[in-house]
Amino acid sequence: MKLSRYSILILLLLPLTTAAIAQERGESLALPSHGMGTAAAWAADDLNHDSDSVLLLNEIYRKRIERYNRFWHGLIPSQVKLQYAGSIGLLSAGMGWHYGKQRRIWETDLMFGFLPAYDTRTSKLTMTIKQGYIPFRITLHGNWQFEPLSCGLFFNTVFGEEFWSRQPSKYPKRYYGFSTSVRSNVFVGERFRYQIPMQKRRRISSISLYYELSTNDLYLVSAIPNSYLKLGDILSLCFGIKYDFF
Amino acid sequence: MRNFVTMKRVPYPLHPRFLLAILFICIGVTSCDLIEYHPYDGRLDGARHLTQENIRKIEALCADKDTIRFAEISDTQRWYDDTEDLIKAINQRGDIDFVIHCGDHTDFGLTKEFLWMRNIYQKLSMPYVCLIGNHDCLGTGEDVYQQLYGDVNFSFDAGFVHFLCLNTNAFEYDYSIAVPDFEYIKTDLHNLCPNAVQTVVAMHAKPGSEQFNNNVLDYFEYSLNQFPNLKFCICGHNHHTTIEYPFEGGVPYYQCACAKERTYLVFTITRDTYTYEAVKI
Repeated sequence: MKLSRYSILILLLLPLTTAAIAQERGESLALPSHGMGTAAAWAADDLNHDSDSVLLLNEIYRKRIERYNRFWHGLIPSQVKLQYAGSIGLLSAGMGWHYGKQRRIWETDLMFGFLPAYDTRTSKLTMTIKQGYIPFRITLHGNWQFEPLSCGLFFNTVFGEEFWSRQPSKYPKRYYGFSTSVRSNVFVGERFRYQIPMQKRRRISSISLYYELSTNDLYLVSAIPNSYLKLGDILSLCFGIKYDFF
Repeated sequence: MRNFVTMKRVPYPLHPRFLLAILFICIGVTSCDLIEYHPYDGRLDGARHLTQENIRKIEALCADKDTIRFAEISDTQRWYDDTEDLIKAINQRGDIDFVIHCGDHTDFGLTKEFLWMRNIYQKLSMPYVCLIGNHDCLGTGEDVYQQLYGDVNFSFDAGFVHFLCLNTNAFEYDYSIAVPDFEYIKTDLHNLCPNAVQTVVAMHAKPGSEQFNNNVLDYFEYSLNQFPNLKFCICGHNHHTTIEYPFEGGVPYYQCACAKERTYLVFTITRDTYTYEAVKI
């Protein structure tokens, strides 16, 4: 149930990001038919055997196939992340997409985290959807760059039978007016980015090291009316490394 | 040429030395308070198993007393400032032997909520025991409660008074385990110390509440009445200070309001009688 609800969210989110990515990549990539999957190559092959009139008619088909390929090409993850702590697990890993008109200032990530049992019954798996905004990039020295601000939102869900996203039906209405499994978080952070020189590149184009401070909905509603809780009580720090493929 | 030199000097992020440095930084900050793996991670620090420790203190403190005076607080969830004030007020009186918290330390069952509250209770100058509330059962809350405080059912003797503390949040367990646990009540009655000539029962949700297993109301009353000289019951859960008699001809149930109401109850028990007082700070 929980998984299906999340997959709907992803399905809604992905076309938006892919559309943006596809548009961006479409400008820089000349869509080679062999690289774009067999469908386009096959279609082109097919067209060569037909008469000229059919070829003209099928320009529409060729364009559609190209557009179709460009759309799915946008779905190829452009980055992977490995993160320590940050309220989404002890260690989390995930893939993501960066996009933006001129610079890559938007990011969407899908991450999975592992949480050991500690003093609870079982270890747990968590899933996170993260939306980031990275408006500035300053070149520090050589290939090193500094991104003084990254901020955004992430939604985390923890899997396990003891958690629910909406209160079970046995409870009266609004008995527990919140979700135990889904946390909404906000974060701010900074990054250092190293762009690998072209001649040294093997698989990735750049590496970023980042830290972020985040807090969630339940901590905020706890801290706001209580002077007992200080900012340090509700903040969560994480460290991570990000690899950009392109 | 200049570029070449620069590249050599700048550490390459994939270099093992570089990754090792990151690892050390991560290990270094693990001890830092800002590191949290998940709001329900159950990673605890500081004092644990407080019920057993405090019961020992209460039993030693009240062993030879002829007058037992204890305070009750309840439902302190998410009212940290008010709870702090309640603790201060109870400390300032100086006449309270121990404190019973009737449950709901947390609103969401989060690990940090438990720790924040425990850190406030630790400022009490007298021993205290904490029951489990329905909110404390959410997520990994029950596991954390058991680590911090102890079993959900427990009992102790404060001098001549036997205190029976029961988990009554049946609604949270889907009847998968016995709540209230009559097996525990039976064993406790069987092992009763002969010095205990009076009984007080503490619980979070009282009989008749939506949390209580109301299918066993009569047997619950019967079981409690087996204890010597059952005086009264104390409870929380409804966030109001009330005195109710859920069973006809039975003992009164004193309910303490939530911390937002800034109220605590004080009970003074002598061998002949007892008094009850609701204090609003």
